[in-house]
Amino acid sequence: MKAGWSARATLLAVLAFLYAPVLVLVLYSFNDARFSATWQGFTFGWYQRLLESPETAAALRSTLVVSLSATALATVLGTLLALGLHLRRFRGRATIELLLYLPVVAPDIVMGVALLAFYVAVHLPLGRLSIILAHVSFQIPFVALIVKARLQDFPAEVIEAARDLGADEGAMIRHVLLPIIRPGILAGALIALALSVDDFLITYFTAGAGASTLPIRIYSMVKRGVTPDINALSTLLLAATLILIVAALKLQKRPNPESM
Amino acid sequence: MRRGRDWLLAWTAAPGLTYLGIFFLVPMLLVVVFSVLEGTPDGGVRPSLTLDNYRRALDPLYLRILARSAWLALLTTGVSLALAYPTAWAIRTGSPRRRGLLLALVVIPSWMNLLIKNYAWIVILRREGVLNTALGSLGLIDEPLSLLFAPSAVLIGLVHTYLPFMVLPLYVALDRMDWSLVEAARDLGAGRAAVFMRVVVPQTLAGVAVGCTLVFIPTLGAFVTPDMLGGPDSLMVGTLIENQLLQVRNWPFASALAVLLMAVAAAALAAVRRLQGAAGPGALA
Amino acid sequence: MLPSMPPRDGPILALNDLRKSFGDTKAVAGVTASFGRGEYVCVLGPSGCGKTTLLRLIAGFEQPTSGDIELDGRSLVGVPPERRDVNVVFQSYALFPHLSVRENVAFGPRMKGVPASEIDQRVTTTLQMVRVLELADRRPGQLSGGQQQRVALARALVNRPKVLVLDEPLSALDRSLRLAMQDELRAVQRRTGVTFIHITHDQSEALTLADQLVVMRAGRFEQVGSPAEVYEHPRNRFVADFLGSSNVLEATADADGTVRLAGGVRLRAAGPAAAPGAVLVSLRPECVRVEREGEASSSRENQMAGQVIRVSNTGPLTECRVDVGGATLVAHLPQRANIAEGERVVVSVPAEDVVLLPADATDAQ
Repeated sequence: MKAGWSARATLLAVLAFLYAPVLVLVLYSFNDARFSATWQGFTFGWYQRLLESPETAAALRSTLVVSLSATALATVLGTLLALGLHLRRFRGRATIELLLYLPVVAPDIVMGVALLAFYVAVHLPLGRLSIILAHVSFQIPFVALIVKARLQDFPAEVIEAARDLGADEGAMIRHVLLPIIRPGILAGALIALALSVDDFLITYFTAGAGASTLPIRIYSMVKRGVTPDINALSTLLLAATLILIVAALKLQKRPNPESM
Repeated sequence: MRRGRDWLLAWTAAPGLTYLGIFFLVPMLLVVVFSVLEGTPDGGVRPSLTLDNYRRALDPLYLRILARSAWLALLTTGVSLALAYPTAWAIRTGSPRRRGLLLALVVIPSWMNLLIKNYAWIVILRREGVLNTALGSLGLIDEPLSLLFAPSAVLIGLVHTYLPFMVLPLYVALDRMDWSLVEAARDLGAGRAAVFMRVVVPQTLAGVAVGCTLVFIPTLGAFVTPDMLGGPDSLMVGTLIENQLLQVRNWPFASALAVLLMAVAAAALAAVRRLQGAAGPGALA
Repeated sequence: MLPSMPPRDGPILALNDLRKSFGDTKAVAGVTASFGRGEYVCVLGPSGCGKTTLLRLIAGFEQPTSGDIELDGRSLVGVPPERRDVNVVFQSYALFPHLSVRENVAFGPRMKGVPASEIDQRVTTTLQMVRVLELADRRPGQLSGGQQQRVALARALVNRPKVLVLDEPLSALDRSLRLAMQDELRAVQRRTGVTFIHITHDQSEALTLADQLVVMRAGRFEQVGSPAEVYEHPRNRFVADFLGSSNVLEATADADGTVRLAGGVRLRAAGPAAAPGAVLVSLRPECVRVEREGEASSSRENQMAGQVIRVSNTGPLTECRVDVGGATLVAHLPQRANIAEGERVVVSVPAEDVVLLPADATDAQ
C-alpha cells in the first residue's frame, strides 16, 4: 500500500507546523526591530545585548555548573546501575527495571512538587545544590536505560572469555567491559546533559530565589515582555541542545566500538 | 555458591538505586503523606489526618479546572493522533531511503526546549505578532485578532510540543507490522478501507496506546504551556498546583492534586501495559 | 595460577560423580570419567543433554552441586575460571570487539603478567600456527567466521592450558570450511599436545576427530570409549541410533546363542551370547550385504531372503531398503551396485557385525 496524497500532504503540513514557529523565532532574532513584527533589516545586535547582560551571564554560569556536575554524577550512578541490572540476577530485578521508568514518565510538575516538599522537609536550602540533586534523579534512569541497551548488544560470553583468560573482576571491568560500553556511556551522558540544560519545570520548583539557569532566565524575560533578545537567547539554547542530541544519536548508532 | 566472586558487580546497582530511593521515591511518598495532612494558615502542615484536601478538589471551582485539563489533554491526544497516523503512514510507506531523514525531522523538535517552542507561538500569535502583521499587511483583517491567551492557543502549543511523541511509536508499530498480511488481504479482495480497518489498525493498536499515553500524561500535567499561552479561562491542573504551592502556600492541597495527577498517569500506564501484554517495559521507551 | 608441577602419570582431567542442578533440572546428573594427557576427547550429544553445562563446570563458570573435577590431580571446586589452567573456545568465539587480533591473543598472557617481550613472541608463534598472522592488526569485526574461529583458538592456546574446551567450535561454519577446520583442529592438537575437550552434536565430526568419544544424554554419559569401540559396539539403542543410522530390530535370544527376529529369521552373533529373552539387534547399514537371488554365495552367514523396496542414490553410496519379512533393513551399497527396485535378493550379515543390545536399553538406567 502506498501513501495516498492526503497522507503525504499531512506529513508536509506536520513538518511545516513543527518547524515554522521555531524558524520564525530564529529569524526574528536577527531582525533589527524592537517591537514590530515587520522585517527591519539584519542585525547581530540582540546577541550583543545578550552578552552584555549580567543576568544572562550569571544564568549561563549556573546552567554550566548545574548541568555539568549533575551529568557527571548521574552518568556514574546510571552506568553502575545498568551494569548491576544487566550482569547480576537477583530477586526483584524486574520490579526495579519497571521502577526505572517511573521518573521517565512521571509528570514533571509532580516531580517538582515532590522534590520541593522533600527539600523543605529535610531543611535543605534551595539553590544550585538542590537543583543538581533534582536533575540527577531524572537523569539516572535515562543513562541506565541507554547503557543497558548497549550492554544487550554484545554477548555475555565476552565477559566469561575475559575471566577464562585470567582477568579477575577488576581487570575484566577495566579492560573489556568499560571499553565496550564506552559509546553507550557517552551517549547517555550527552542525553542527560541535554535534559539538564533543557529542564525548566523541575528547576523552577527546586531553584529557590537565588539560582537561575538559562531556561529560568528565558521564562522570567518572557513574563516581563516580548523582546528580541529572548529570540537570540532561545536560538543559542536551541543550537546547544541540538548539537548534544545529534552527537548522542551518532554515538548510539555506532554498531561496534572498534572505531573508538 | 559464587563465594564472593564478582562482588564489585554485585553492588554496582546499589548507589543508583539508593539515590533514586532518596531523591525520587521518598519525595513521592512525602507528597502522598502531605496530601492527607491539615494545612496551617502560615503555609505549614499539622500532623492530623484528613481527606479534606481531596474533597476540596471536588469543589466546583476546582472541578471545572480538572475537567478542563482532562478535556484539553484528550483533545490534544485526539488531534495529535489524527495528525500523527497519516504522518507515520506516509513516512513508512514512502521511499525507504528517505525514512530515516523524515523520521529524524519529526523527532528533532521533541528535543527543542519547551519554553522556546511556546514562546515562538507568542511571537506569532500575539496582537503585534507575525500572523496579525502578515494578515494586516495583506489587507485581510482590519483589527488584530486576539489569538493568544485562549484555550485554542494552549491547544496549539500542546499539540506542537507533544506531536512527535505520537508519531514515533506509531511509526515503530507500522514498521514492525506484518505487511504481508496487507498483501494477503488485498489478494483476497479486500478494499483499501477494509484492509486499513481490519488489518492495519488492529496490528498498530499497541503503538496507538503508547503514543496516546506519551501525549496524554505530560499534557494533563502541563504547566508551561497554559501558563504562557493561556489566559485566566485556560487554567489547568499544572498551573493550579503551582499556584497553590508557590503562591497560596497550601501544601496539602497542592500535594493532593499532584497525587491525583500521578494516579491518573499510573492508571494510563497500567492500561497500556495490559494492552501490550508481553511486550515488556522496553516498548514504552 | 597453579604452581608448575613435575609431569605426572595420572589422568589430566578426572570427573568424579559430578552433578549440577538448576532448581529441579538435573543438567549434569552424576558423571564419572577420566581423560589422559594429549587426548582429543569429543563429547557428543543432542541439544539439551547437559554438555554445555559440563563445559561450564570444567571452565569454572558454574560450580558443581556435588562431586569433583580434578585437573592434573588437583580439585578445581571453588577455583575461579581465571585461576584454572583450562581455556575455552566459545561457540560465539566471544572475541573482544575493541581489540585487534594481536591484542585479543595477547590478552591472556598479559593478564597473567608474562613479560612483554615473551608475550610478543608467543602471540606471533601462535598466530602463525593457526595461520592468521597476516590478520594480526585487524579487528574481529573485519574477519570472516573461519578467521574468527582461528583467532579464538589462538587466544586460548597461547596460554598453554592443560585442557582446552571447545564449545561447538565448528557449528557456525559452512560445510566445506567445517571439514577443513576439522583437519586443522586435529593437527593443532597433535602439535601442542594439549588435551582437547570438544563438544559437539555432530556425530561424524566426533567420529572423525576423537581419540576418546563420550556419548551424553540427559545429563549422563551413555558410553565412553574409542570411536571404533563405540561405533561398533554401542551399549544401547540410543548410542546406536545417535551414531549414524542403524538398523535396530527387536528379537529374542535363545539358549543356543542365536537370536530370532520378529519375522522368524534366525541370526548368529559372534560376540558373547546374550541371556535368553528379549534383546535388540543392531546392524550397521554398511555391514548389510545385498545380492541378487541366485548370485549369492551360499557360504554367507545369516542369510535372509527379501525384496528390494526402494533404491536411492545418495552420492558416494547407494541406499537400499529391503523387506526381509516383518522388518525393513537399510543397506549401504557401493555406488556401482546393480540392483533394482522390486528385485528378489538375498541379504546377509557377517556374525561379527551382529551387535546385541539390551532390550529397552533406553530406559535401563
